[in-house]
Formats: sequence, C-alpha cells, structure tokens
Amino acid sequence: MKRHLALISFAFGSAGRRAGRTLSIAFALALVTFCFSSVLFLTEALRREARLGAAALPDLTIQILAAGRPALVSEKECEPIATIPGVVAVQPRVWGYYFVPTLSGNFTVVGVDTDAEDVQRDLSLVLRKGRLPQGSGAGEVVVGESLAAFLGLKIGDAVIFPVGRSTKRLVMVGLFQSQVALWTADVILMSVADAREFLNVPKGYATDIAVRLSTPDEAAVAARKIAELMPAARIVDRQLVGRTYDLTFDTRGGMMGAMLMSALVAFLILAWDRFTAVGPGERGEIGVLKAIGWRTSDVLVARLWENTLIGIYGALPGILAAYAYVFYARAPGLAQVLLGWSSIYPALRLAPAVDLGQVLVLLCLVVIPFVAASLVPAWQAATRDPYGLLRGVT
Amino acid sequence: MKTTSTTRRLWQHVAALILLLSGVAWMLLDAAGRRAGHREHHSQVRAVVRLLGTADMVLSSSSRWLRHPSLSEPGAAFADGPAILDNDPAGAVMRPPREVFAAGAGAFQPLQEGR
Amino acid sequence: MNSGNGVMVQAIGLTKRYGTGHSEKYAVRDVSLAIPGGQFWIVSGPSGSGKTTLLGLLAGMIAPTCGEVRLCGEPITHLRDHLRALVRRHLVGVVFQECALVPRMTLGENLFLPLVPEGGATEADRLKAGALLERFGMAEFAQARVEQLSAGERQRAAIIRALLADAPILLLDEPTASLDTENVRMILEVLLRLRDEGRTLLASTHDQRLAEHPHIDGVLRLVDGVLRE
Repeated sequence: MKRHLALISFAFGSAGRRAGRTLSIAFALALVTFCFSSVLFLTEALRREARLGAAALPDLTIQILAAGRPALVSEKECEPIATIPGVVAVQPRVWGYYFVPTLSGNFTVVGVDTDAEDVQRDLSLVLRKGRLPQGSGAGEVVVGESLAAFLGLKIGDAVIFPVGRSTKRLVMVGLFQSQVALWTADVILMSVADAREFLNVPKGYATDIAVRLSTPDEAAVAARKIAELMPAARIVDRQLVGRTYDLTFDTRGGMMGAMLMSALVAFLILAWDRFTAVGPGERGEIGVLKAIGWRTSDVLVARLWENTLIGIYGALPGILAAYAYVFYARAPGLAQVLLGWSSIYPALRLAPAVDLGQVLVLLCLVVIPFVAASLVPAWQAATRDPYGLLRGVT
Repeated sequence: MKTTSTTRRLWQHVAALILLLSGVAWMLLDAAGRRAGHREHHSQVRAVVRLLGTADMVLSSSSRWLRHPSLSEPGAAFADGPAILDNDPAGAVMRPPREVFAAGAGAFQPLQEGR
Repeated sequence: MNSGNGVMVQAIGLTKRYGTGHSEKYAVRDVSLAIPGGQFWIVSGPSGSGKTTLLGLLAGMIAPTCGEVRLCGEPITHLRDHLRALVRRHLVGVVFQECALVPRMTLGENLFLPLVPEGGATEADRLKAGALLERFGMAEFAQARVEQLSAGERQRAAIIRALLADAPILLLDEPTASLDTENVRMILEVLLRLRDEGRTLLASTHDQRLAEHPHIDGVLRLVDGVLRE
C-alpha cells in the first residue's frame, strides 16, 4: 500500500513535470470523450423518451403492403379481426404525410375522432393554447409548435392547401405543448373526415389498423391468426415498436457509432505514436530510475498511475462538457446531424438518462485502452539496459 | 528535511481530482433531478401516443424512413438502391431497424413445389 | 554481506561484446579484478577505453557477454532483473558521469528517488538526508531545482543520493569531469573521507591528477577494453 502511494505521488509529479505533453494528450482525450459522450447521452435520452410512450401503444398495428410499400387497408378487414379471441378493440386509423414543395416541408397529418371522450381528454392534457377541434369536416386543426412557427400560424389563422385538383382550408384552433414537441412538432391533428379529404383516403379505407388485446401475452397468437386472415399484412407488435429506437441507435451497428469508434481508434494510435516517441529526456529518466534500483515493475506501475491520471484528466472534463452540451445547450450541431435537412425542428428538451453505470462505462471505454496503449512503449523502455538508456543508446 | 514541493504538488492533484469527481456527482444529481421533475411529462407523452397511435418521434421529417421508423415501408431507407444511403444526412447516419421491417415475414417461407 | 578474503568487488573474465561478425566490437575484454574492502581504486584510460562499460557491468546495469561479477563475495551476474535492482538499491551506490539527477525535480526529491519503491522516505531518512546535506555543505539547496545547481553541487548531490542507502560499495563514473580545480579537490576530499569510513570505492577517470593522487589505493589501466599493467 505504502509502495503504491509513493509511486502514485511520483507519478503525479511526473505528469506535472511533463506538463506540455500531459495537457496536450489530456486535451485530445477530452475531445474524443466529449464526442463519444455527447452521442451516447443524446441517443440514450432519446431512447428513454421513446420508451415513455411504449405502454400507450396499440398491442398490434396492421399494415397492408403492395409492391413492398404500405397501401390503404379496407375497413372490412376489421370485422373478422374483432372476432379473434383476446381482441378487445379494432380501430382503423387515417394518417399520412403531406409535403409542401414550395416550403420544402414535410408534415404528418393525423385524423382522430374529435367527438370521442377519451380523445378530448387526451387532447386537453397536451394542448398549450386554444381549444379542441369541433365538428367533423370543419377543417379545425391542432398543430405542433414547430410546424405552426414554420407556417407562421397563430391561433385562429387559416391556411389553404392544395389537395388533388382542389384545395382544403384549415383553421388552427389549438397548439400542442412544447413538452411533447418531440412527437408533435410536425403534426396537424384533425377530424377523421378532414383527414380523409386532405390525404385523399376514400371512405371504407384506412392507413392502418390498431388492435388492442385483453392481455399483451396474446400478441403472438393474435398476430398469427391475423396473418392467416390477411396474408399480405405486415403486423408490428408493441414490443417491437418499443424497441425501434434501441435498434436505430444501436451504437455497434449505426454509422455514427462506427465513426466514433474510428475516432477513438485514431486517438489511440496517436497516443501510441506519442508515447513511443519517448524522448531522450524520458528515456534517460527511466534509465536513472533503473540504475538507482527501481525494478521494471516499479517503473511500469508509476507509468500506469501517470497515464491513468492523464486519462482521468482527459475523460472526466469531456464527459462533463458533453452533459452540458446536450442537456443545457441542447446539442447544437449534433442535433442538426440527427435532424438532417428537416425544415421542422423540435426542440430537444430531453431528460438525461445518465447514471453512474454509464459514466463508468465511458471511463472504461476511453481510459483503459488509452492506458494500455501507453503502457507498451513504457514497457519497451523499462526492459532495456539502464546503461543504454542513460547513454541514449537504444 | 521537508519535501514541501512534492506534498504541495500531490495536494494540487488531489484537489483537481476532487473537483472533477464533484463535477460528476453534480451531473448525476442534476440528471436524477431532471428525471424526477419530468414525471408529469410521462402522462402527457402517453396521451400523445394514444392520439397519434405511434411512439415515433419527429427526428427527421425529411428523411425517408426516420419519421416513423416503426411503420416505414421496408424499402424506405434504400429507395434508390440497396446500398445507396438516404440523401438526408440523418437517415444516412442512423441505421434503419431491419428487425421491424421483417415483422410478420417469418410466417411466410417460400415453398418449393412438391415439398 | 562480506567475502572471506575481504574482496568487495570482483570481476572474473568479464567481457562485453556488441554486434557480431564483421561489426563486432569489444567494449571490455576478459577483465579480471579484485578490490579489497575499505579501499579507493581508480580505473583510468583514454576516452572510449571501456571504463564506463566496466562500471556498468560491475553495477549489474549491463549484462556481460561472458564472465562473472561478485559483490561482497556473492555473484550477481545471473540474478534476475528485480534482484539486480535490489543490488543497485542497497549494495552498490552508482554515481554517473552526467550525475543523472532528474530535471525539474528538487534536490530533495532526487535524493529520495531510490526510496520510492519502498514506500517513500521515512522520518529517519529525512533526518539522515538533512545530516548528509549539512555535511556536504548543501543544506540550503534542499528545495532548489536541479537546474539551479552548479556542476560541483550536482556531483555532490549524486554522491549524497548514493550514500542515503548506506551502500558499502560506491562506483563513480568520471566524478571530477568538467569540474574546476577547487571542486575537484572538494570531491576528492569527500571520497577519501568515505573510504576512511570503511566504504569501497571504484572511480573511473581520464584525469591523470586523480589517477596519480598519493592517497589512492590502487590504479587499473584500461586500454581498448583490456586491463594493462
């Protein structure tokens, strides 16, 4: 114990004596850690947000594919599905996308039964301003805040959109809350009748079918029965939908993760290169230590502590800076990468999913390979002839 | 004989480490506090998911598959060709959830005649 | 540790060869010597004669091509690295040509460097170091950085570091190189005092003044790696 404390004290001194090298490597390490941590914090926070809504999803969502693409499904399919044991509710849904070329904006149109009590209850929870839309076919809509800003709309404003050969007039009567912007930023919510007209979905057809079961455990059995009834259907169960963002943000598979791993590897190569170019001063120091009675293991332990200290000095500030960047500054730059060329940006008001486990994983991911990479050149020097090291002879 | 510079240097490092670890402790407490303050938000999210029928977030409304990854067409991410990335940077950078695209496909295996 | 016949430093057929074939070169060839305890010997010779290599071999810092080294009667040649490190820490104090003090450290930190792997300096070590610094007139430099010391002061510091471990044997490589006459006289005085206290000293030098000093107990002459009469 005393030996380690003395070697740690020596190691701290060494890091201070080579302040230039220590700081430059710590800075580079901080940068790599910052990039890695920022992506990790952001994707974990998004994953956490996505999981919040999983419980409210329908147990099964049924789509019809034609030519590999989603096609409209006939509402007649709902009747036989409703007879399957375990099925509690079958709801055809009308929703889709609308692209405004002149604005280069894409938004999501969702039709709901504006007269239903549960819809009104849910809407009142998430409405920030205005009122609930009333009257089927009246063109009253609730809009996400980013889309409203994009279109320059205020409560009471009307806007006319081309629909097929004619037009559709919509009046904004309500605005979604900012807290749910991640889901509603590009949404225009309207009655089912208005949505059919707007999206050109004829009566008797729907975009997809949502199925609720008495118990989620019935999902596999119900899905199989539905597949027998509708061979061309794609049936997505709640568990899979809930895992979508786990699959999307999988750092092993994602390109972002691949790019960052490359950055980490590049840094380790740089660290290796930096440490193998052990200068004559450092070689001489190792020679002195060996000559005055330090064993190879003593030299290596001292180096291990020195490099661990540098690793911690680099990694921890990087992690802290990443946290501030993602959760205080809302990740400018990185958010744009995530949002691509969208013209409608939800504000990333995310709750951190950061915990001690994640911090330790980040530290290990960065510090351990760094210390390992830097120990090998130290070992190469420490096992050499102390006489040769002192004289500068390799 | 005292070695004051060694001791001073050691304490400087200890102080720096304590400062960094305090920063981490603050970060973890801040994160926990933000999560706790977000509880009201959970019921709002569930309400929105019930209304919209999907938990998909507005991550990239101009990416072919990223707006509703759970319900996108299987070919959305590769509309121009299997190996061609999405034009949109977000869609190109993030992996499409192939497992979701394969949902329901398992029931249907191509069968050879006579078997 | 002591040998029966009082020989503290012994080499038997010591050889160090570098390279092979056409490029082979002998730094030290078939050197045998025996230095009795409590004596101060010199190994002299021109530059490149192999003096430093010989000292390195005797200190266990270089592995010989063949031959054996015995310190206090015990062979050290085939000891493993960690045991040879212990030899250098407790048995042999080595003072190098360039003093080998670690720059950007204070004199005090340099003195206690050999003690770090053992847990650092104790209070007794600090008292002993203080006494040695006083004795060598260096007390005021304890907190000075190595870069602030003169050549003579650094040489004395290196000797103090070697003495801190109470090693019975001191090997010094060119202890008076690049020192003025006054400093040479001072260093010599120190070394002779150490000899009188019972330590065994072997110093290499190309300085004839040192080699011909009347109080030196023995002189070995090394030319091209070979001991000459």
